Amino acid sequence: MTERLDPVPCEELLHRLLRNKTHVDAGSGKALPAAFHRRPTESGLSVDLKSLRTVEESCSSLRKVFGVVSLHTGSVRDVSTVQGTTGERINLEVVHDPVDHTDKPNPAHTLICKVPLREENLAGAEHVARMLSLQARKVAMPRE
Amino acid sequence: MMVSEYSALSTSTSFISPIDTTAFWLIFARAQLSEKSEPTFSCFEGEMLKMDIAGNKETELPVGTFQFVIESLKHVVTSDSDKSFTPPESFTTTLLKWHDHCSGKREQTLTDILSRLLGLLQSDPEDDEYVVPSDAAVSRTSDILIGASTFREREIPLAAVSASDEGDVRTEWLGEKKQISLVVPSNEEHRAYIFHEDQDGYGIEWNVSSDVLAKFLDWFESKSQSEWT
Repeated sequence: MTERLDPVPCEELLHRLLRNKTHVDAGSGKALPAAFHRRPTESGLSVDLKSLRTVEESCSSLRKVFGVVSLHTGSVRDVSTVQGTTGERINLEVVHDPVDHTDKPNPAHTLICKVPLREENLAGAEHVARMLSLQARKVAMPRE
Repeated sequence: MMVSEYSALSTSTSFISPIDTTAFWLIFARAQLSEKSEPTFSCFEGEMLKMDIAGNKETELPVGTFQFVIESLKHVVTSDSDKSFTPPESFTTTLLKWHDHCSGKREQTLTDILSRLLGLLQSDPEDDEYVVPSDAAVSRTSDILIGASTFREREIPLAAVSASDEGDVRTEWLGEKKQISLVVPSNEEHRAYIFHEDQDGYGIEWNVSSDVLAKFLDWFESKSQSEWT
């Protein structure tokens, strides 16, 4: 059983794997906003804590990875959006969520939480995706 | 340029490669043949592409035509493929729209954007989660983009093009301080929109048309030209 980091320190680096080939800009190689949209089936955006898993280990867990970007936990927490119904400003949160009970355990698994769904708050979801794409820095892939 | 001059161009310009033959015939065929005649590509010998069409006639085509079609084909057809390739309807219709609008003009960024747009149509056997956008979404996006260029005195700025996990077509102008995203969904029950953001705030424009996009592009360029990433 992996011990949870609670809270995740602001200096922790997060790795997000890009699983859609078009989410990497053909010109700059940067991650595009579409890489940071939450699916309705997800409770948050999945990332890995760099301190608990190497890029190689993260990439080997998936069949195909088209890019890897890093984010600073503290900078992610600075991103906020206005909730549509109440007008309340909500900041993103980073929560360590280790996966133990599957055939592919991932002690580094972490969720970026409070990301709006496009179905519920389109403008907010687009804004969050923009902010995260601006923050994201390209990480060298294992075989680059 | 006449068809008979094409071989001379092939040998005198380093840009031209074997794949250009197909590129040439694609535009040639679609411009000359009836809509009922669908061109079909087949690959052989690893690098050459051949297109089977009927009723070839000579026509005049600008050199720029080749570049767009070639770049588009590079996105859609892999050189080591030994399978026949029939382009999706939106592929050929977009090429024709581009041909009608851009022939003889300097529209390099629009050409690049449309080429990237057509690249979204390529599925990947190793990427089983990739949702290829619908013909309708690609076609509407190209209509809006080509239309927007007619409302502008300058070229459309270069955009990033991507597909969402649901197959929505996203054409985006991304600056450090400003962003415009034209999003055309593949799901016909969803509406197209333009997301816009600058330092003063963000919002959604539901009235999506070429002239509206052209106005947003003017807004994007008016203050942030030196801030583009």
